[in-house]
Amino acid sequence: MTGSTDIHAVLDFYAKRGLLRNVRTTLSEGRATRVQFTWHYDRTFDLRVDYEASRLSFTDAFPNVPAASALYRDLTGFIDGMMSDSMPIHRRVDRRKTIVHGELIDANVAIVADVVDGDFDYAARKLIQVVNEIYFGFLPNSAHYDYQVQSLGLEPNAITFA
Amino acid sequence: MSNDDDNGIHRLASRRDFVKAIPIAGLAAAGMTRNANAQAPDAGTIKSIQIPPDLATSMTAPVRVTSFEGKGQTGAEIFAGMCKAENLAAMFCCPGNYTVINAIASAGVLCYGGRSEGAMAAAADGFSRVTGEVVACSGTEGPGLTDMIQSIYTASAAHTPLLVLASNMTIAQEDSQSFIQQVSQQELTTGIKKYGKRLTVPGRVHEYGAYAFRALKSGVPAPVHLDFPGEVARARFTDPNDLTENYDKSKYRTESRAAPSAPDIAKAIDMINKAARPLLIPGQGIFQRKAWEPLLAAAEKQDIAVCTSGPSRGHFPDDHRLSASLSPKAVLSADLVIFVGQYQMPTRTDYQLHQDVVTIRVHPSQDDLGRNWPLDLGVVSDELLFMEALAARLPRKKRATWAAELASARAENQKQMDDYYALGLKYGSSTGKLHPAVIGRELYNFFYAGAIDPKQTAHCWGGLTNLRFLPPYLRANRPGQGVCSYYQSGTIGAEINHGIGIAAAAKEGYGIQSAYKGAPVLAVGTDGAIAYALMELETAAKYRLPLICIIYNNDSWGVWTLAENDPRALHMYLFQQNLRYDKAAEALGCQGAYVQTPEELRAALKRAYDVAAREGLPTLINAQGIKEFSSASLYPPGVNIIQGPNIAAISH
Repeated sequence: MTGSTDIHAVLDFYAKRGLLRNVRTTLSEGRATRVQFTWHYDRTFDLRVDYEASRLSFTDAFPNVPAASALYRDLTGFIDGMMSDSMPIHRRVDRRKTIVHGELIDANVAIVADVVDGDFDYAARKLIQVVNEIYFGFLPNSAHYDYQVQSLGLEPNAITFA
Repeated sequence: MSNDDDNGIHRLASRRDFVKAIPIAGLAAAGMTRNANAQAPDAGTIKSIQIPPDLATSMTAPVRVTSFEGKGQTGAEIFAGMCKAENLAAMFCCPGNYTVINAIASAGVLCYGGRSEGAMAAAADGFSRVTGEVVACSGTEGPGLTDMIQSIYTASAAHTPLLVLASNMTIAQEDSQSFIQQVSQQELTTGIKKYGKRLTVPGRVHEYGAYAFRALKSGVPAPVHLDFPGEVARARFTDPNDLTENYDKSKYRTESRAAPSAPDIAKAIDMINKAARPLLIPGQGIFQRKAWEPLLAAAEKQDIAVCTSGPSRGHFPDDHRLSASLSPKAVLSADLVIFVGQYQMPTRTDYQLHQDVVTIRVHPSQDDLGRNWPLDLGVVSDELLFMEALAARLPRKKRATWAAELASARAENQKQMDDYYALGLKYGSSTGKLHPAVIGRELYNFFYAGAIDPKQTAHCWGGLTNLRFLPPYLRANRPGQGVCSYYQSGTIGAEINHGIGIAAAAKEGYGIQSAYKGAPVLAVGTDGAIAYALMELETAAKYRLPLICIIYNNDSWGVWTLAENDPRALHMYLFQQNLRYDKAAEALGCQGAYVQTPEELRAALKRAYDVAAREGLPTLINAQGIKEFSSASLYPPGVNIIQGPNIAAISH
């Protein structure tokens, strides 16, 4: 997939691997594409691709996050860590190709991948990996259980604390 | 004290007669803390708790051999004979279904009678989870069976080979509203059993017994439910020709299993060879099929990481360098995952694996392959035969980088646990109560990192409030050492009742527990759980089952934080504070301890261990915390869920 600019192939690949569900393109206009799919916690994820700006983003990925909050600090720190040398190389985001970061807009954190070298496929795969690791690696180890229930739709009735 | 080592830990050097009645006065002389009302007669008017002399007499009574001669055999005795021939490991019951349970006990099957059918059914489940054997539970018809439903559901979620027995009045009374207890049983267990049958033709009792054991011992196990109307249980047979399909187990079922095909094995080996970071996830099927030796051999041949799943743990040792159970961050690096015997299949968002991971799944039947998780290779095979083939044919290969990543992730995980422990000490110091991270560390130090053989202590656990803090300390380094009581069901209270069954298996040294016969067993639960299990501690005391029960007492349902912003709802989540479950246990004939500091807990564990090892006497340690420890805002990091595969996972 390297070098291609068709991120649909990436999404189709993950749909066929059972990772993403209900993948549907909601906008395909000029150099912009918008795709929605169901993923973690059965939430709808909204992926926007702006080829002009060389940017992919999950808008509103994490709603209700105040700028001065511990969650914002922890979350952005985790995303930065995905590009650090402490991350095994096979999972690391190569900042020479893509830079990932959280972007706070009106108390919503978007997870953004800025494409450095024109490889949108790499950026798409890494952006999906970052979100995957946020749900698998960051949230379970964080102190933000209540946030997951209140803002991400984690179903508290799925388990009962005794 | 001759069997004590330098650390004062009692060694399990000799076979003890746990059945022997032990007067409470003798226990007091041994220096144990006891409730005064429970141990001391009050001026001769209130007698102390005593094990009835009839108990030992009953348990050592001769086995009764029945035959078609003379009076012949009842339907219950025919079935009991099948249970014995099939090596039914044990039966846990309450009286009711009298004809059947008496026949099974008389046939020489290990039996336990308790205080509630539901708790005893869970004890049966616990016994099976640490032995892998078929275990039975039994109760009377209407109220007995309905009380067992929760435990049958729990066993079903864990794929336990549980034989559920219940009586069923008589066929003649059907639909008559006659007397009491009538219920249509089989509908009640729909969806939580593999096979079920109300026996209606007396002459087919052997035939349906064969149906039951065929289902219990073939393929993927799950509960089987037989209900016995009086006409079947009490029918008398003097001629074997009056029974249909009356032949032995070699004819009504087979030990033949599906072997992996040569192309499948070749492809699996090719995929493993090509992977840089392979991960084996051996599930319940590996435990059920006792496939841990070829699993270990295959993993070591190619430095394959292993993270066990399922309700039973230890079929790959937590302390092995290739174990990923305590390396969650490395699990996310796996590029190939091999599920073997995964009976509850996760979805792609249930399991913390990399989005690009390639998948092999091995399952004993074709019909579940491809469920929930897309396959790159599906293999129909018995788990043991697959692992033996893999161990034999996999070429040797070192994966030093992968092994180093596992070690690094384990160290990082340990660092996090150390941080939680330090926080727990700090919170404990400021509140005077025990934080679950501190309880976990103390349990680890005592049972798995001290004078006691780290392979010795079998354990089970429940409690989601403490999920991130406590279960990671409970190590399983041999098959049948660890049980996740909440596995796939989240049944609160199961952990204590499972502990009773596990302690019974340990006391008997049954099957794979034989190396640690008589060893004390650890059950870690919560104040939510004890409500479902307290009375059954009397059963544990009666049979002198070596159970050490830790209750994390935070005065509430741990989920109280979900009512933090609903003031008028909060009361529903609260218990009375500082409840003395330890005193209640003492009143039931157990030892009790109430602890609020690490030092008190340490001392209580020593006393509990000694009295369990020496006398088989159970202990309840009431570890007092506070509900606010669950709050991330008040005492961060608070609660969280743990997704698998992981030592503390409760699903898949």
